[in-house]
Amino acid sequence: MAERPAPRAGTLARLHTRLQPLADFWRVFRRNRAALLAVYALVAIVLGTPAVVFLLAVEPEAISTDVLARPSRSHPMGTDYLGRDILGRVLHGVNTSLLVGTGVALIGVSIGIGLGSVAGYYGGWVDHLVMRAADALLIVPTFFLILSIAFIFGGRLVFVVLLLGVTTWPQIARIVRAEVLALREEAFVLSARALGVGDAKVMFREILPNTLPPVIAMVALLASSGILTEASLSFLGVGDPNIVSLGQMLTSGLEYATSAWWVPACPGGAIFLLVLLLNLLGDGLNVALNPRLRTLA
Amino acid sequence: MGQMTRRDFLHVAAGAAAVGAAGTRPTSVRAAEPKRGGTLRLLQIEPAVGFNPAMEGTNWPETQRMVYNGLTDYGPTGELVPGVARSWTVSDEADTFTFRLTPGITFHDGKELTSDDVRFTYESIADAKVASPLNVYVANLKAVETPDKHTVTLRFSGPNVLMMPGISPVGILPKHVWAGTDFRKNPALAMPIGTGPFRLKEWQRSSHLVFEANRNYFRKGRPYVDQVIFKVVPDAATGIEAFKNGELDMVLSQGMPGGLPYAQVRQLIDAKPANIVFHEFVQNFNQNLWMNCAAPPFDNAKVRRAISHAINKELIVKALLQGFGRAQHSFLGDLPGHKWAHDASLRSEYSPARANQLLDEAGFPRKGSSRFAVTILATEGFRVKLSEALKAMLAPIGIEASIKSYTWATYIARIRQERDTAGCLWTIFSSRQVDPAFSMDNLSGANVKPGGANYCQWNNPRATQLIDAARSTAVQEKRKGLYMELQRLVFDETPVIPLYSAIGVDMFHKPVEGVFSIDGLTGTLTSIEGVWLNK
Amino acid sequence: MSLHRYVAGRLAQSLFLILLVISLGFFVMRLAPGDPVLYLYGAQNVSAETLDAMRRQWGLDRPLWQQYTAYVGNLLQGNLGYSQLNQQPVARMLARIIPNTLLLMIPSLVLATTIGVLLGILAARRLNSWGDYLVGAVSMVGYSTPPFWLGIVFIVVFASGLRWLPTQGMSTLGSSAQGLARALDVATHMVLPLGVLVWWYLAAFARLTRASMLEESRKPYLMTARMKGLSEAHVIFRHAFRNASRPILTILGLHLGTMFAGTVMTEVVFAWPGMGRLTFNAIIQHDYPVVLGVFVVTGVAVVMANLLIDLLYVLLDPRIRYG
Repeated sequence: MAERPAPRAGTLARLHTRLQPLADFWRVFRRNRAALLAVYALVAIVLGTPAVVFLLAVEPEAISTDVLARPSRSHPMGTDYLGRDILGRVLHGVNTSLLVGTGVALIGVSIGIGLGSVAGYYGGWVDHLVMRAADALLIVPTFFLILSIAFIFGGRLVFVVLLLGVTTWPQIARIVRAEVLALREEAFVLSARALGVGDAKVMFREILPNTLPPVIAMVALLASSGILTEASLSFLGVGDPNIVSLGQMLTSGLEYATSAWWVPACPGGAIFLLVLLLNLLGDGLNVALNPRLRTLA
Repeated sequence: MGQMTRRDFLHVAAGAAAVGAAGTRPTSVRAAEPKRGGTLRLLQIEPAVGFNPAMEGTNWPETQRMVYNGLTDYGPTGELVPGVARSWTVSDEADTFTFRLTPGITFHDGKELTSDDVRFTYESIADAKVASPLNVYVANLKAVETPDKHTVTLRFSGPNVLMMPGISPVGILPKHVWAGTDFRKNPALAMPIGTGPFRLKEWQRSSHLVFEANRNYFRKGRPYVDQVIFKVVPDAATGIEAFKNGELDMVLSQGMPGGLPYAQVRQLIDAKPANIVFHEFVQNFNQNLWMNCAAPPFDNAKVRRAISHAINKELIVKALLQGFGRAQHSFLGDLPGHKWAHDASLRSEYSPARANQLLDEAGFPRKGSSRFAVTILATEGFRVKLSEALKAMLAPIGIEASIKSYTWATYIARIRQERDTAGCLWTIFSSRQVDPAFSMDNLSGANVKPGGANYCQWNNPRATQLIDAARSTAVQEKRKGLYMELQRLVFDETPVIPLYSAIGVDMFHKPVEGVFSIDGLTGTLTSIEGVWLNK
Repeated sequence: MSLHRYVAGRLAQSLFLILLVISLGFFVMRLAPGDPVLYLYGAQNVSAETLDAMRRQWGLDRPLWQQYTAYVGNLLQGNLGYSQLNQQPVARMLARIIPNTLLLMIPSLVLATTIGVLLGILAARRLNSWGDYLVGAVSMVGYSTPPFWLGIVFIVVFASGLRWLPTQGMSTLGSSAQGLARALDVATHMVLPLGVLVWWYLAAFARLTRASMLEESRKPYLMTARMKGLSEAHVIFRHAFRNASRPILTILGLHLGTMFAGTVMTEVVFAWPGMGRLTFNAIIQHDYPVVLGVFVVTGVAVVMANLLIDLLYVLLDPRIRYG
């Protein structure tokens, strides 16, 4: 199914001046104000929430008799059905969501790059095997598979992240494979090979670095979809109650949507914001890293 | 009946031999001439998968009761009233029960109900091949005699104290439909035939059930409505919104796994909507916290006692149940069906200090802030919220709990089948406690083996002896004495920690009249046949 | 390679894969503790012996491999099995429920692609205009919200709050309306779930179309077309969009599974009697044959859809060889 894209115009140039692309990238990226804002916000969240949680010693599981209290000075986001401070829990939940997103993206990307590059570089039966496996994951109603596995074995968060990561690699593998296929025939790769450079070295030194740009753009999107899927699984009852997660907070708070709106609305808003920022970042990266879109930005 | 508060009323209604209690508003029962016609739409959260009373036991009572009648029925205050039997006699030893059937009752297919059908039903329940979940309650059935078409006598080889309150209301099956067939393959599974006020017209699994009035119903003039629809809405919150929006006429507490969405219901009640009526009634069950008493650390009674002092039951009722419940301290809770045997002097105060002291004595000193780790088993939904509360309450006494949640079937398999529960805590409410004998099955040494109902594997010979003794006498005073001793023993040993009992809320829109809500063996019963629409 | 052989090869491969998936599903579900018997009777004071007797009646006591071979044997003969719990053949259960899901999925896909593509083209045409930003913002919001949360918000606002629309279900309970009246009734019930799904899918298509159109818009052939004096609409739809539609189709194929997941949640929230709901219930009830049946049907559907998309490529772009 995959087509070979046209060889890239700037590849050779980029190879020669390794730093130039970074500068180019930044020049384009910074013009996208939404994406730039997303980066600042995400950096603030990534650095900020753990610091706040640590410094204020937020105790997200401490219950109190002050149940379903409206947002107030002492509880800026109110309290939930067990009298727990929602702000503290949202901060913890954001951390969890970031870990989920990162975890899913990292697993998906590592497997995807590994298998995609092997498939593209060696071709033949290796390629065939990898791509059929990717097809298989396409056919599987992955969501249901994860749902039944997690349901039946207890929804440990690590487990859910692992499953999500393992099932998202085909997207990455397809992109990487297509890139590798294209690069394989490029002059610089051919010459490296002609000089007797080994497969592994060619792969790591010459080919992989050039497949990264489109993959990097995917990372943010994978992370955001990981966060959303975690929330969806929580809604259907699969969650790890030992970890404060936004998805579970939202789900367990849904029955209070009409009586104590802040219980679901705060974690719901946090999920929305986080996913939105990641998507904006992903979009920005996509434009800035894709030379064909770059000129338009 | 004068003006009474709900609680007063419940106390009066739950008399000594009460089977259930009612929170009914006398006005709606006494109302003027019922009007006929119309469609009643009700909420069902978990879709029913079956009807046959012998096979489903206490599952989906709300839809079972539409199609089948038992020998007896529960009346508006929980007392037994005639069902297809117009009268009955019970021997002093409670081992012989004679029922006289109302002549001329017909099944939906036109055949008359006779003593043969009653015999067939009870013999099927007792038949090991049928594997009825109710068979433990008729285990000592000796013979069913049918001296004539309308008389049936059940003889047991000893007292059966559960026959009247528990088993006599179970629906009667038509012999000509089920006899000689495989109970798991009979076409009547999908199109049940009973004597009930309604017949099943359409059954779209996991969507809805449509019942139409049985015009040949033996209680003349009933039912009043033409059609009853149970709509399956899997998300309780959406279900309540649909009810508020007028898409459903009625919401029953029964069939809400884990209970009502209490906050939503509380808000609805507080809003005092002019067009909605609420019935609150005490449900016949305790929510219990169980532990594996056969493995450390819960094989030590001091540890179990410590846990019972660490749990703030009042807070659970206030926060999670929004006040729709009451803290309970005895395994035979202060429930309508237990009242006569309940020991009100037992009390386990909330005291983390006492809990800490007990754990120190039990030989579990703190290492840093923690003594030991346990696992709380849970299912999705309400049980997770409850487990979160328990976890937070165990932390201050140095017990680090982690929660694992599963589907209900996997959950119960771990607890009941695999007995894979060392170091675990979990919550299960003992079902429909219309008589102490029901709940006490859960603590009998006979049920300790895997698959048995003694979830906590507490094997106490004295307790088992008392349980058996209380079952083998029909003298109420003697039973009471035995249960008092048993309760005290269970309280001291604490194999299980009673948490709370719940208050059910049945809600319906104003035009609905003639509703009464009680909790019997077969669940929260709201007799739909007497319901009519005042519009 | 001939078209026939290509299609046949793809089908054979896919069937093998589906079988693989079924086996995986079968063992994953069966190796975990818990079964339908415990789902039904676990909370009752049933004796251990009675539980075992029930398992025997349902054939759950046979060795796992025997149950597996029996299942696969039936499957190969086109028999999806029998749900003991629901006392119905799985095929019949699915046949009744699939149309309901399609009723939700097809219109939402059609609407989402049409609106999404139009918005995407609009945004690409007027790059960095307020319209472009608006499209971006709207699709971002839809894309960044868990679908079930969107559903609950819709119910609270439009059904409970404003009382414009019903909260749940597929038709008014007890209504005996027929023909047009019934269609109208169902349509009213469809508005909210459809709204959620369309908004959710829309985002993906709008973003994708915008990106693809941007890529195409710089290609020299468009200049040529424009210089030839062809109308702008002609240029955009006959030339640019025709080429931009390929990645859109690919994504459509790749995301069918994900979209199905979105449908599940929407069905649960709105009590829509569809496949998602059925599967969700079946997983809860440990009703294995039904869950596996859904795996088979969705697997086949996804395979077919992707095959169709591949063939569409050939139609859209005759230069493509299959393989």
